[in-house]
Amino acid sequence: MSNKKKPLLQVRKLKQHFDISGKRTLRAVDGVSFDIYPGETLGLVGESGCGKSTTIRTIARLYKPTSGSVIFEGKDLANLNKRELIASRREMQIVFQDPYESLSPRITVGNIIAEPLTIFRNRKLIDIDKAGIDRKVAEVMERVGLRYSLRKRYPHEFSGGQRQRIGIARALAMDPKLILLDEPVSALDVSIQAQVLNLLSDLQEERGLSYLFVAHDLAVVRYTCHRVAVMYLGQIMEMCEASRLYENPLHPYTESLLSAVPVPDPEIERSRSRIILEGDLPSPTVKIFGCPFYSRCPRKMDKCLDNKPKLIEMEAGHKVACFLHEK
Amino acid sequence: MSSNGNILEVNNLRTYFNTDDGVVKAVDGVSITLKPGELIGIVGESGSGKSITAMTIMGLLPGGTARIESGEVLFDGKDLLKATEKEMQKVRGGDIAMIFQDPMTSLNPFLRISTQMIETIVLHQNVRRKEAKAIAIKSLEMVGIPDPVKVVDSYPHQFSGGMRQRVMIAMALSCNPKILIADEPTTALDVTIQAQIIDLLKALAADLGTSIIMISHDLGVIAGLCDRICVMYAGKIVEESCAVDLFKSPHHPYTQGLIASVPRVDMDVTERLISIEGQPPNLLHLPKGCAFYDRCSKRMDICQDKLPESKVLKVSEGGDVHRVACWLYDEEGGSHE
Repeated sequence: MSNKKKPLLQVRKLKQHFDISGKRTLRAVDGVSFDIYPGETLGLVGESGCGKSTTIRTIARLYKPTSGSVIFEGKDLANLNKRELIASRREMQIVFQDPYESLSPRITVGNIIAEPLTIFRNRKLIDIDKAGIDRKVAEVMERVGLRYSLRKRYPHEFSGGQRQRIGIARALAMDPKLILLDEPVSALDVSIQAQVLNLLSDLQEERGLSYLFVAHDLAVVRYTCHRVAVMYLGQIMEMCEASRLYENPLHPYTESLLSAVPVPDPEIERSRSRIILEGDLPSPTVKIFGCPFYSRCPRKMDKCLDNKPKLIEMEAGHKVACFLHEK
Repeated sequence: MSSNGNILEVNNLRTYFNTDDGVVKAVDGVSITLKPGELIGIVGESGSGKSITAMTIMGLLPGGTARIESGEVLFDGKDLLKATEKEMQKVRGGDIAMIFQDPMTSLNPFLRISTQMIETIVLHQNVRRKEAKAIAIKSLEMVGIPDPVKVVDSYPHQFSGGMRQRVMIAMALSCNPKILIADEPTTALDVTIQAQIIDLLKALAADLGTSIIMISHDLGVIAGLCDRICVMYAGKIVEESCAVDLFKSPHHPYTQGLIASVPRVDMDVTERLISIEGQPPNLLHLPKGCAFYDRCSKRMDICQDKLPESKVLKVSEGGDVHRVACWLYDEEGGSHE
């Protein structure tokens, strides 16, 4: 479907390495490439420490990437100076995981939502007057299901689900094309989680938004995303359309990850065969020459230790980095 | 064990908190029975009272604000709520052990694992330190910690999250508890590690005959592990049934909503998720009637005025009881429709 359109965001060979304690280097993101098309949701999944959140933060240029490019609407964000960066970030907004820590406790909700608009107005990057900002705040608050009359309240007066709506409203106020969602529902109770997921999918439909959706919950990702990329130790192991990934996973890591997710149905849950992975994630500070999944892979071969499998397109739109599938 | 074969009986437990704003009825009339070797799950969202129920059973309520308004917790025929602190210390970590969500905050970061484990073992069993260490090593081995002889002298920070939770489980099992209360033991863990821990708990229940009370917000985790499930909402058990029945034919509108609102990894969802609108009620100002009234899609007039009592819907041949507290299934409520 998306092949005909031009991608909105192109991430190429993105690397984000952090120097820690002297000579060691933490390779949080280690050569990641993907595209996001207009109106599409790309899911980025993986376990803690796989680099999914760092990828989002690097795309938003909260960190300067070690190498690689992030091309958003034709401009490479990796090389822009501060002023250019701020201007080009207008159409790319971010919603964080923790609705308690990502909203300033000392600012009213109305001002939190208005703040990005105010900053752009002060820098003369958008043409909007104060009344216009108020109108915008009212519009996005109503849209996410918060009464405008609540604008003078502070974040602590809201529940977790409502706070996440505030975060979404703040992102929407800029009329973005792309919203980076960093675990947007993982801090919420299930009944509230469903409300927020439905809101996000309605907004996407109305406004043609693109999402980069980072999550560890594979069930949420299946429900939300059009395409999914599975990350492990800073690299993409498999990437394809969501339904395909869940029906026909090719990478042994994807397979075991999917089999580990519990299904809320006792009869299915008890009869499923489960691939239990041994051990834990290796340290991301150790340079790995072969496949990053080697140490835990139930189907490893000798050559996986020293040779790194490339992310190769197996079938149309289905990429996998594994020697089992290399011809 | 009491005459009816239950190892633990919680009857009509009410745990209230005095706060500056008023009384919070965190647990409000909860009854649970547990048979030897049984795995029961308590599922509910934040603030539903599931953890406070466990804390009350263990006698771990914070002093000052919390008070037990009524009820009893019968273990081996004795009411733990009437036990002295000294008696409780014998029960805790001995006959009834508990593991928590965050293994890092439950382990002392300054002490070696061996020191922490030996302390518990010596306290509960009549053994010397040397024997206690051997027991500790055996427990670590049982939960699948590689190289336990070496590892036992490590500090908590030297373990990963999954390994730390294994250490917690080993510690809990070192005194052969009859009951293990697990409060969200896998919530802080990644799915592949969560699968390891659930398998471990299942194997332990089967091999050692330990009864487990599993507290979780995750219906999937509960579905895979538990024989029987209690669904909590605003301090009350609104539905209780064997696991298969609860998922196949949930009766309480809250249970129905909860199950429908969870996306599933094994199914393509083509339509919207069914969400429960609104927010959980403020425990300071609980309504007179059903606490779920405001959010319920099937509410009736009576629900606003009168609290539904928990009624038995059916009893299976094996003696499994399906209970629900909802006016929809009550003759009195039915006549109001």
